[in-house]
Amino acid sequence: MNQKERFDLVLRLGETLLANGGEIFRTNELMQAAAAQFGLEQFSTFTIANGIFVSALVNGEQYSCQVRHVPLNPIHLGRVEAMNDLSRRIASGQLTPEEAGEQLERVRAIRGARSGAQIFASGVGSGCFCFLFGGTWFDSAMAFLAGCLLYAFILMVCGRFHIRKVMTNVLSAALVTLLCCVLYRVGLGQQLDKMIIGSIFPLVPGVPLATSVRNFMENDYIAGLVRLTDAVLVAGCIAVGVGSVMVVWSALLGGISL
Amino acid sequence: MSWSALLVEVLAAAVGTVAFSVLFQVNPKHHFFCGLVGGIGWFIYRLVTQITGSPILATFVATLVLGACSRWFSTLRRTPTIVFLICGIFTLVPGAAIYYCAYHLFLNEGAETAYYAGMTLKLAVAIALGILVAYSLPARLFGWRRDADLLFLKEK
Repeated sequence: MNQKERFDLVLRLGETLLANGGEIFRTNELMQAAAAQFGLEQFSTFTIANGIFVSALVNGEQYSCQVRHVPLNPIHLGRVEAMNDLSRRIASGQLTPEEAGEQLERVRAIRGARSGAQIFASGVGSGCFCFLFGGTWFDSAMAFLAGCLLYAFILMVCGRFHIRKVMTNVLSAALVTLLCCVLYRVGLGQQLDKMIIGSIFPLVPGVPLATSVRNFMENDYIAGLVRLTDAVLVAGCIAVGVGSVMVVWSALLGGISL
Repeated sequence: MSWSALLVEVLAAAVGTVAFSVLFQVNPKHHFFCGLVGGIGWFIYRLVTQITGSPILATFVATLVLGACSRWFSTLRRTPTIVFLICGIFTLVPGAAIYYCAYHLFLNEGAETAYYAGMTLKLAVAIALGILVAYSLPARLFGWRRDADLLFLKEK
């Protein structure tokens, strides 16, 4: 591998870790360690939540710089763990650049849980959180149904038709609210707000918000702002979805205390 | 609150955490420990809420404890801390507060919106502080040796 290819490899290592939910300081550490092992001189990185900037001295005379946009993706901790293992072996000098490249492709090919398992997990999570927020057993059972529907909709409809993230959040929040309202109307479930909170919990940006504040405290202000904006936007989308269904429902049919 | 009710809640928190670790694509061999971290976090949260009556302090203490547990399990299981941490804090993140804030905003109720927005922010800061303090604990507490091949697993 020549120096340019090694530079590309180091950037792709960092990109893979960051895109799957790795922390910013760990992404920087990984790229620094890999660059040191692969013999890149004057290597420097600047990483934010959704982008990487790297520069290095190539062939001893020219500075080379790359910028990569890394969209805020869903977290994939299986790949983060595999990347951590890979980076440890690179840092201890066990891998040549060629081997590291092969291993990286293997990490990027790791698949997650199947759709069926994800839909079921979303339902279970919704049910459990409905219970934790004070719902009854019956409310939790209804939240389970709504949570399953939520992920089925996200994976089968929004994923297939490439609906944008904003619309995905609005539509899926509206859909589960509608289901909860219907269930509540026919007498299944006692507390509507608990059912809705439980069933939209897989969407709510709690982890991005906590990560954002953590970024601020670690002096990654730009990363913190990017994640904060994203979290506020997602929360707003959910509110629009839930709120519009409830307003329309109570105007047409009544029976929900807003 | 009775102990049996608390036990059921802790179980629900653990099962919910496992469910979300499936959505975060955690390797199935770590699911049990993710659930354990989530259950511990919720247990501490409820306990401190009962004693002090402050959900914010409870969130801070619970995050601190589950952060320490995550670091401990990460040495035990040879896995990055973030795997257990992200799944474990899911029970504590201000999901309900975010929801109520956005909901009241939509209904044009300023006072409630401001209250829940403040609550969300305070909870998020409590979680972030808890994580930072947990990360600042000396690595030797969790069984780290000064070992070359552990270089990369070592936390900041």
